[in-house]
Amino acid sequence: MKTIKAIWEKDLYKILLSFLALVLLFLSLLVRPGLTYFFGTDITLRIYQGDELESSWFNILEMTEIPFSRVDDEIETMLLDESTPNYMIARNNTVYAILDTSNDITTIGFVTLKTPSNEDVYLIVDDINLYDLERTENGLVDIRIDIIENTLYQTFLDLTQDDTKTFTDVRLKVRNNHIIRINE
Amino acid sequence: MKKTLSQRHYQFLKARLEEVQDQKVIDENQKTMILDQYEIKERLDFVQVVVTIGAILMGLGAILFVSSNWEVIPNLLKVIILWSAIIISLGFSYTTKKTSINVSKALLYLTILIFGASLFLIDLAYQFNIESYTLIFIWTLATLVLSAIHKDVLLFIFAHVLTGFFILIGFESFIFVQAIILVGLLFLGIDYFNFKKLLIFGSLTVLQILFLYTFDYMSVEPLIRALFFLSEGLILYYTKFSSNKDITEFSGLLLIGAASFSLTFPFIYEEAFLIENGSFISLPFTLVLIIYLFTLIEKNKLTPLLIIAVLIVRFYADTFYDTLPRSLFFIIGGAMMLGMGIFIERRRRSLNENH
Repeated sequence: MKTIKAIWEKDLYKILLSFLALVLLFLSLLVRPGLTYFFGTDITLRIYQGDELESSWFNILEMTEIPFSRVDDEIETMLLDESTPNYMIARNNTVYAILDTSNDITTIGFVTLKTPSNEDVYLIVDDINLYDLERTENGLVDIRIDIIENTLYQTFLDLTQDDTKTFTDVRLKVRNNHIIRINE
Repeated sequence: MKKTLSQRHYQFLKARLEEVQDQKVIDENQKTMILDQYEIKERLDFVQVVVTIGAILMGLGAILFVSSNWEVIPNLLKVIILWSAIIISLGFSYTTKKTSINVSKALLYLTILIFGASLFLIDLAYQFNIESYTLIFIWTLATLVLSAIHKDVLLFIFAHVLTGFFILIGFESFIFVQAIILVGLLFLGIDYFNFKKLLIFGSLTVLQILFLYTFDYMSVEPLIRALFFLSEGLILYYTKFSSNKDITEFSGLLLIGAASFSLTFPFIYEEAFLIENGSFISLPFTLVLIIYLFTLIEKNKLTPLLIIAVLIVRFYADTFYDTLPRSLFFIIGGAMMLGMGIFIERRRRSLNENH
């Protein structure tokens, strides 16, 4: 008892309280990822690259036909053409995505592709609320997604051409706004 | 406890005491008693200097090593490194509290800086993709908590700066709830820190940033914004606060100055009332404003004089920037500012003398 009192009087409690507060506040970083992990929404996402986003055009598209290969072309160009700054290519092209059956997608935004060590392909999406959402006649949501050049540049460099060709049809597990698992 | 003197000062004191002893002003005992109250400050030990430089170099090397390899360090190790730094810094802040309060405080400030850096680095490492303003919000809360626990004013001032940043970065995002919480805590802190003037001024400044954010978020007309700040300034200036009236008066005058300055531009009325020439409103307003400011100067206030000086420069620049040759424009402008500076300084001195 005396020891505790002595510690208390020596202001150690202030340091302990400070440490506890810092830890608790730091742990608050995990709140949103935790919520999205446990209560995330399943959505299907296709990626298409084009100059215009037309609702009617998307309506007639079969999900499996949405070409990822056009994105792949750009990646190949980006990887092969070293004379051009890679990020310029990425920045000048807009990637479009369609999301369906989800009302809970307003925090999805930029898209990056990544091949982690286990060779599963991941898609990371963030900040869609910066862009306009339009719901098409058949209920699909068209979302314009701008690739953040640096992230794209860094992550695509890890991909080989074979990797990119696998992106034809994807089923994604969206944890609200962060990591999306692609099931090929 | 003996007072420390440099070798040179000690020798000087000793020589002077010997002189007065020779003059029989003091005796041997008195001289010894006086000298006993002082001791020579130890010279900087060469070994100590070398060891300190060595320690700093080692620390720098460690920081450089970690930073250059940061990308390849596993995420968990990153967390461990950052939290070790926080614990070490906080721990040393505690252990040095008795021996050197300044070092202890410096380490406390270092702790909060490392904590802020940790938030951003861990967010990046794990790709949480949390918005910057949310991270700054957490950082500000941590700063506020530590300032409250340790009753440290500097940390509390830093929390003001962080809150300002938080609101500015969060423009166009919905951050009302967090912003109101932070500003509320800052105002509560004024009482906790015994109504320090700087804190009142800081909190009022942050509150104005919050108002600016609100107006921007709601796309309020510039005229309405200016009128709001003008009214707020007048309320702050004329309300008889029981304490710290000088700082609320000063803040009020600054607000009146800033709002009035924007109301002297014709375009603000042209946009609001969809008229072609807003000068019909801005010019009479400017005249009324200057008369009002002169009445304040009569009450021995200096700030209105500064506002008038700014208005003169604004009208001079607006009128003559396009018509006068550049060199002449700057020469006259410089001479005007010089003259106004001298006049304001004289006025300030005379006010000080009167006080």
